[in-house]
Amino acid sequence: MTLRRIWKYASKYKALVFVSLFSLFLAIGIELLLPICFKTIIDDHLIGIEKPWYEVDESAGKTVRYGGRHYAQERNLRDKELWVTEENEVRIFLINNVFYFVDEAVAGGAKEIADGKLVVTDDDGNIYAYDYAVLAGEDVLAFYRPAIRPIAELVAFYVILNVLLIIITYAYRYNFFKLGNKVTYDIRCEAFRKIQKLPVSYFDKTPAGKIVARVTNDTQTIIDLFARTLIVFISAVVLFVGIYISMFALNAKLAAYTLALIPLLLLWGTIYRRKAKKYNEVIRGENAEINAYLNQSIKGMEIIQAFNREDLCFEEFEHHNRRYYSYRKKMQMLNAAGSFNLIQTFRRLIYAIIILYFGWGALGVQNIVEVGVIYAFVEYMNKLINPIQQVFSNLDVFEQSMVSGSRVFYLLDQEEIPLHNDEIPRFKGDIEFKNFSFAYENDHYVLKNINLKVEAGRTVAIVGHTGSGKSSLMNVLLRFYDFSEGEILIDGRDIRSFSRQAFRRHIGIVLQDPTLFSGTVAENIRLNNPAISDGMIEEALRKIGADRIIEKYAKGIHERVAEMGANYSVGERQLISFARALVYDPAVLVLDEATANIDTETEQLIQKALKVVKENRTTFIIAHRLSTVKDASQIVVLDAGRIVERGNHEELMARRGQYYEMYRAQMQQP
Amino acid sequence: MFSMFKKIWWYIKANWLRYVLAITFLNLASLASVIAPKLLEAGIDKIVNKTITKSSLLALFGMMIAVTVGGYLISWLWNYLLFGASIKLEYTIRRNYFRHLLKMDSHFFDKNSSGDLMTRATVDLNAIAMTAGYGILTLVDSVVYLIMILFMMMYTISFKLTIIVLIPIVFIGLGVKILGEKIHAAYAQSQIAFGEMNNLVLESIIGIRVTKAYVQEHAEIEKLKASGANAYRKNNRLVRINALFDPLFRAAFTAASAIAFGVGAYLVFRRELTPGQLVSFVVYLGMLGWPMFALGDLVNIMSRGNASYDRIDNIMSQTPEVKEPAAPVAVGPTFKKLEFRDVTFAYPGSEFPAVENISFTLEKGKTLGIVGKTGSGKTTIIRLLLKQYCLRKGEVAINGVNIKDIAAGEVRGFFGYVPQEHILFSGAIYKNIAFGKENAGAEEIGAAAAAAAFQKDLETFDDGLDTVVGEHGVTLSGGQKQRLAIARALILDPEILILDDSLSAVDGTTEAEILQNLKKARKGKSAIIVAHRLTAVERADEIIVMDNGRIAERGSHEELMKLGKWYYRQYTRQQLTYKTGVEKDDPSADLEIRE
Repeated sequence: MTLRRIWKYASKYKALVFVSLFSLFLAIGIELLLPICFKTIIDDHLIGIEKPWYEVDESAGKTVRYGGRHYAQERNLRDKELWVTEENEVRIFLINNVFYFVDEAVAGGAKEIADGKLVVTDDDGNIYAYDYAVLAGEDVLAFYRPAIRPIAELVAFYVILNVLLIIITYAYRYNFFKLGNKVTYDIRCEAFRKIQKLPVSYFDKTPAGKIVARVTNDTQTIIDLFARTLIVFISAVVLFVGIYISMFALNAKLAAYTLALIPLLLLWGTIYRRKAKKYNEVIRGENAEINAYLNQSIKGMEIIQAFNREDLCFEEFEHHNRRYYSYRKKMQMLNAAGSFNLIQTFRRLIYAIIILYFGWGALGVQNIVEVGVIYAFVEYMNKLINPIQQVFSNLDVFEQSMVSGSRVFYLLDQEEIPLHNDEIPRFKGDIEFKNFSFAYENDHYVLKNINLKVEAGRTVAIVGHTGSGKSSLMNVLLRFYDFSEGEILIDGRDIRSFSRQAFRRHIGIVLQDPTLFSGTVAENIRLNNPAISDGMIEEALRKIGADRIIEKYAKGIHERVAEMGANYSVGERQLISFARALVYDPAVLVLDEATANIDTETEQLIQKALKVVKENRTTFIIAHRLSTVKDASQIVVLDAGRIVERGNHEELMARRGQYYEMYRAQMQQP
Repeated sequence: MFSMFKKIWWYIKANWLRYVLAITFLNLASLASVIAPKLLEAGIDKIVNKTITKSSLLALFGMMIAVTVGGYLISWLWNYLLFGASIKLEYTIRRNYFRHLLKMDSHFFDKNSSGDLMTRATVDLNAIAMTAGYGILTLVDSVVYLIMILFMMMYTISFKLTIIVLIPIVFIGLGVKILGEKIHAAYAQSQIAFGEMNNLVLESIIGIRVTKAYVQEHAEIEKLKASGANAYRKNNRLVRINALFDPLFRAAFTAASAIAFGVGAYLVFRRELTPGQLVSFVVYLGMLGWPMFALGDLVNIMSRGNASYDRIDNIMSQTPEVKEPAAPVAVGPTFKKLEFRDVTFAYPGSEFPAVENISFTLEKGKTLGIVGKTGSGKTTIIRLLLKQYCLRKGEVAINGVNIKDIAAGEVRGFFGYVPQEHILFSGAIYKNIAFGKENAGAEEIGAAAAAAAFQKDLETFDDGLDTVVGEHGVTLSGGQKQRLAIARALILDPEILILDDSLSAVDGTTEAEILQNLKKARKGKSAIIVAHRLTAVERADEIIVMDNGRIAERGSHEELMKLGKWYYRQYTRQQLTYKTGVEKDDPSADLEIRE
């Protein structure tokens, strides 16, 4: 399972994982505590004024002076047993915005003011009436005074908790991200290693862009996985459990009622996802179609206009555009019904339920209704709903990262060919193909029964039509592809008897399309090999007559190559590839000739460079332009994988065979 | 920032009802949001004051449910209306954009790269759509919401408290803005690092053969690891700043809440505030988060939308130079003759004319050959024929009428064009062949394929004519593409067939076969053949030799051979190499052939 594999990378960093999780849990714990602060303020100190007061001596604790006497509430008394008695009890009530003082204990029940008395009706219908005094503003203030310090302390506590929360939140966000970042880097490094060990066939089969996407884009989603999705999921679960425990602790009945809403939310979530998945598939599909169509039309506008097909093309385009539009609308309707809207609604529903519940309770006999609990419930429900919503909106992201992850692992699971570091002494360069046959797959032979001998230092040119097997020669000679029928010998030994790396140290290639790497010209020629100095590079360039590359820009060989090598012409890029071959001084060189059009001047330069590079080196030229082939000591004509003619230029022309035909045809074309 | 709204005003006006309704509902929904805490407050206070009765409780509950349900429906409505508007805008602009592109001429596509045009159609379009939906939402909603909340807080609870509580929030608001800029910069850095890594990986893959041949695998790995490490560092730097965002917000609201409770409690003591009011005050405080965040986001969205709108507008305001005639003259359907009358043309932006003083006549049933070095102006003539560029000096006339006065569609209808570059479209082969003739029958398609010597290729495909080519399908070879392109032109049975160097990728035998087929099938029809291999134009009624934009020689094959100039030399050379096959050292020969 992809998640498990990703986790294995993470488990390397035990300390980081531990710190991240620990700080997350701590943060959640603090979050849960926060509402309690204010709940306490409200219930114990604000509403708490309605809790019993006791007439006491001034010295008995924190007391309030009123009407010449002193009063205090239980928690502010030192000798509780001494003072907390029914005789000493007095009460204060807030009814309809007026504070009433009753100089005696009061029964529990519904309270109201009637006929100048405080009338209490209890559950059994008994009625009690009490005398009261109305408290003036400053008296109310006096009775609140003992609460000031506790409230200040609680507020301070709240602030401290928040400061801690801020620090810890920063900590876990940073650490989770760092964890994801590290895991991503590790996986990427593995991918980088993997790429260099994959067989060349993999790269011929798979578009480069696709491979790149796996190494860079797909791995990037792993960072998001840790930095966002995992945090959301883990904290949602922990919060959920924590909040419900807290709510049950506060008021079990109400907690149970609110629980009922959660399955509704989950049900909606499942329906939403199912529909959303369907819609999104169409949306993504049509979007891809639209873009592909647009791209194609722009590139082929000349044809569309020449064939008067504008209206039809527009209609085809509109078809996709309209379909995209209609599904986006459908998706929007779905979103409007859910997500933020739904969350808001649930929140208000909960307010309603809370009020109903408490209000109902307050109708009957009641102790002091804990307004603080109401507040706490409101806060907890708020804290609960957001995570739930975030879980839903992150499900897509999670799925996406799993898909991306599996793509990356697919790449990492590919079979690799190990790299060897051994070295062998330079070959002389005698190459022989003995009864050699080769097929890329199954029995589709592209080279059949090749027998070819090339002496060290000589040049052989391979010619043939497209599909004759020319390029495959490079693939097998360089051991980019494996073969099993026949042998290829170098200096009399099978090339498979060496490790690929050791063998290749003595072979160089120049490709058909000389792509350059980003970096300087010098870096392109030395290819990260520290043994090759700048001096060697310049010497090589001059030797092949490519002085202009040194002189073209002020920085000379330290000039940076632009993207796709744009600041150097095709010919110049070829010359750079030649210089590379020269500087590495391989015993064997395989040259797959460029087919692109080059101006005459550069063409001559390349001819000259080729002469230099060929010297004292066994050279295979896979030729497309027959003008380069004339000087080869041996020309081999391939047709459908077989050697059909061989000899030098004069001999082959005299034969009036395939070579002759090809040469003639080429000369007719500029 | 508000200039963005001016720019999409035309759309807003066209959909005014939708927007008016959306904004009304939006505000009603905000109202509902703002009332809900008030109801909560009323409930709490009634409970605390023990003035609650069954009926008042049920009434309160009823109101809360009504607000909840009503709020849900209204919210659904504005959400759908408003975001629906932005989706519609996207659809509309995309439609107009493509329609506009279809009308543009070659000069336009020379100026604007396809990559750039695509980016505008995707990225920029998205940004604009965002403005029309999310942008307006953020603007209206956050401002109105903010005002409503502040109003409730100040006038139904406590003006004093609200002001005090706002101070830390405003401070933090500024802090958030500064942080936002820093985050932006760090994000840009991490994007760059990612891009560099991406590039290096791509290069590594493309150059895998070179790497392996020169045994530089380890060095490559190290190089890539270094770029990965760079991305890692830049990411870390980003998160160090980014992770501050939430805490900062929280700090603001903590301070605000602490003050609210501290001072609020004091006010409750003094009976300037009821407990219910205190609770609803804190709830309102929490509600301030969204509008504040949204306002910050708004500036971002607006500026992006603004830039994008300009980019699309830039394209839409470009007009084609080749304009349709106000009163098009119909010259068809019979083709009588095509004339070039002293045509001189330079590509826009170029100092030198590509063709100068070109005159020729092509009558019905005749063939014109155009030959010459690369860059001598051959293809330019074809482009002018197809009305791809605006001609200022000289005339191109069909049946005696200047093509300026003929509708482009009709002009192009006379031609069957086989271009130099092989452009095919993704889809089935038969669709490609029938590209210009939508309702062509299977027989017609088969006949066209046969005439283009494409039949043999069709047999090698498993699905024959139904084989899909292009991105998701089979890749055709150069020769196959050319033959398909020829079939595509032939099926139209056009008056004038244009072959622009279209036989270069086919070998001699196939070329002869195609030319034979054409001779048979197109008796009485005209053709223009541009070629490098002179055997292709040998039998043309007139051949013109282009040199540096001018006609250097003209005449039939025999006449040109008698002239003994370039044509003669070329033809002879091509024939000579037939016989001896060996190039003798003749510098002038090299230079000319190798042009």
